[in-house]
Amino acid sequence: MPRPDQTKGRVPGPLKQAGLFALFAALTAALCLLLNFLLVDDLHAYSRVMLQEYYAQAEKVDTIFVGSSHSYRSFDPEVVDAVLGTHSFNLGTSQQLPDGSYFLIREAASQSPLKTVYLETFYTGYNQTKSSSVPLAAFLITDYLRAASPYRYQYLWEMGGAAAFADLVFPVRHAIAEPGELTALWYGKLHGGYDAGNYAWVTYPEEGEAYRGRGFVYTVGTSAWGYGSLLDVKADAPLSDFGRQNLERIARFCESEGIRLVLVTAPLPSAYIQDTENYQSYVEFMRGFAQEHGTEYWDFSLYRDAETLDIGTEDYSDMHHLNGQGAEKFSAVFAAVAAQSAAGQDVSGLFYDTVQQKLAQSPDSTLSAVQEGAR
Amino acid sequence: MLEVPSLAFLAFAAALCCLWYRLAPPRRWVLLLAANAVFCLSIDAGAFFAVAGASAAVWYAAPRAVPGHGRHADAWLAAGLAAALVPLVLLKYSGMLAAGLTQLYKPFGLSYYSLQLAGYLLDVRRQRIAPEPRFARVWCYAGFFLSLTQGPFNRYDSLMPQLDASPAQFSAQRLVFGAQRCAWGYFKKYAVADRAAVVVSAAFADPASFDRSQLVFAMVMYAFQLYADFSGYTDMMLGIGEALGLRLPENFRQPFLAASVRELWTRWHISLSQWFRDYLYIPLGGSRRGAVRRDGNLLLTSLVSGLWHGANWTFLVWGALQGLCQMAENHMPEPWRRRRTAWTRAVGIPLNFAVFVVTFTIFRASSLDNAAAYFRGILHQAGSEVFAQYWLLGLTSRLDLLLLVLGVAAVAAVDVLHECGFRLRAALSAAPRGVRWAVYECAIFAFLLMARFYTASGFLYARF
Repeated sequence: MPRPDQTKGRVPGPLKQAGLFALFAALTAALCLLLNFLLVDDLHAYSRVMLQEYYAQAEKVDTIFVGSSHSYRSFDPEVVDAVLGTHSFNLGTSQQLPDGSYFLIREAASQSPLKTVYLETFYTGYNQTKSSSVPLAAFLITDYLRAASPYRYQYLWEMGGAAAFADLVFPVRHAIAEPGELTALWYGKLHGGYDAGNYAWVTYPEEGEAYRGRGFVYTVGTSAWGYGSLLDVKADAPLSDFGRQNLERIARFCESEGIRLVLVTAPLPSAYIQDTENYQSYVEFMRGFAQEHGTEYWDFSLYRDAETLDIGTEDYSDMHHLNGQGAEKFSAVFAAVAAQSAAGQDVSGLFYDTVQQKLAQSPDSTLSAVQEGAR
Repeated sequence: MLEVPSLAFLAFAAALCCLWYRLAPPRRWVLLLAANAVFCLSIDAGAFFAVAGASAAVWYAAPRAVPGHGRHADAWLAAGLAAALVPLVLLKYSGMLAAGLTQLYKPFGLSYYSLQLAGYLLDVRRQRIAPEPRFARVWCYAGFFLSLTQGPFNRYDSLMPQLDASPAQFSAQRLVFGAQRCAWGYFKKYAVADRAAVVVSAAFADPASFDRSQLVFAMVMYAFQLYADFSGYTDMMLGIGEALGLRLPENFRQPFLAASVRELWTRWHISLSQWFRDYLYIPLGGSRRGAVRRDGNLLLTSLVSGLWHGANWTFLVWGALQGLCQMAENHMPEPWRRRRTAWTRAVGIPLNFAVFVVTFTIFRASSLDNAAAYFRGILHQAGSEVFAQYWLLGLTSRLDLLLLVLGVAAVAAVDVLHECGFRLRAALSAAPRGVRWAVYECAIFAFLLMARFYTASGFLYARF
């Protein structure tokens, strides 16, 4: 790179320099706001609507569900509250990693009279090695946490250090709109797109998916891709260090705040758990962890009573997510189990000890569908 | 903690800049020595002691290695060179020298301070410079923190006198120019190199999974990744140096506009090429002893240059190919050698770029088998899915792909402008404030949009 001549020009005085600097900074901030308005697609974000709704009713919320899409697609707070008499809210977000769950729990504990946390523990997130591998998972939370929340900044710092703040001030980096949608987005932003209760931007009739309130997302349709596993479990390390450490701090925090923590895995298709090597190691680790921390682990993939929890090929929208119909069935069974547990009953007997027992004795219809397909 | 290009490093450089102009120029080397120590200790405490030890040995040997000093001048020269270079050879090539031997601990910056110290010793021996009486100044030179990570290689007689005679007064203009260059370096690193790295890593990890178009695209991206990564780092260091009033050696001069391999080495990693030219090629006889000897010297120098990069056969083969290409060029007719016509340049530039891309594919490969698999893929795996199935190469969206191409185009465009003699920073400095601010705002938001932060894995040349 050629070096310029460093001839001395007329240098403005310090006051003028400070003024020019402030003007430049103000111009930069204004441009940033303008570009964010013009280019960011935040209207379509479930987590925007979800957190906006949560803050509006935070004072009443005593129970939360946290976790990835398995949380927001599986637990319908209305169904659960009808049985338990609680005021629950689903704080699940796409690809939510364990550190995201931790900071959401802390945020909820600072805003709500929290009594119970149901932590959805789909195993892939607990096998990530670091949060920055999936930065979008963090931004889906931090973009919409209230500006005064310390956990918003703590989470960003932990995830990506100072660099993560570039995404905070300039979300265009991770949430840029499709060019074809820009005009519709501008119109939506100016005409009630952000209004409470407006679900128009989080309803997708063509994809068969819609936000239904209190964090719950209802999906229509069944799996067109079978039930192949996303990831096998390592027998000797069923959770990554990252997953284990975050699980530990979630448990410690809940214990210190007197919040009841229950670890829950929403039902996975029997064909899926059969296809996942060493899934039993994960179950055993979670059970051991729950015992060690005086809590419980309910894995509904191993639920014994297949008549009560009558889900199968018609109840999964893809390889491992429940669809809306499956979620309604599951939420009812979950609420019944939670009610028994709240009444002091031991519910561990409702679940098989091993994956092998479940597959041998009461697999769901996905297993036979896969076997028939193979034949 | 102070790894380049962290914000902590920038803050460290800013603090140094503040203190720098409070000291009289003759005392600044002491401040630099302290800065070197803080930098080195924050990254690798072992390297701090390794630099100190090697510097002490070379400082002690240097005055005794001057011809006429005594009967043992040659022995002192050998001892000094051994102190500078034997750790490099032993620690860097242990695995290659003894098969099965685990790679030993390698101090941070070993490949850089070793050659700088050897160069200092040889310059003293040749009486180009006087031996430095103060050990601390040799230590300051060897551990110079702006060069320790991955160069550029400084000469003692170029760097140290500058410290004593650097401009006494702070200059806002100098700071602005330094900051501009530094910012351009950050852009190259984060917006081009780290985005290209995703594609390159995917393709080299499993070449059998990709078609010809994807493999060719990835090998071209590697050329730009390496260039943006290495020259980006150099821009950062030279920018900081500029703010301190130091003129550090340029390491790159539009290398992809070279029309031959020989010319490439006057434009790519210039300070290393010059080191090998001055301390290996010329002492071997250079081109003074006939064509055969010249070609042999070229090949040997290229092989050593290849080996300097690491204990891997890929580097040796890469070095051999670079040497062979230069040998072949020596035997080409005149318009293709030095006095090129516009036409031979027009043909030579893309041809040379193709040679660069092919030879550096071997350089990048994890092994010769990996390189062979890569070339096999190009020959046998037909297809043209590179843009249609961008996600296979690790890109997350079409925008990701577009930003990569735009970043590469920006780097290429700036190089073409520089080659045409257009001085961007001077032009910007002379422009009205409105234009300057518009350029700055565009640069800020382009960087914010294009930079890829979470996949960074340090600088490529730092591992050498």
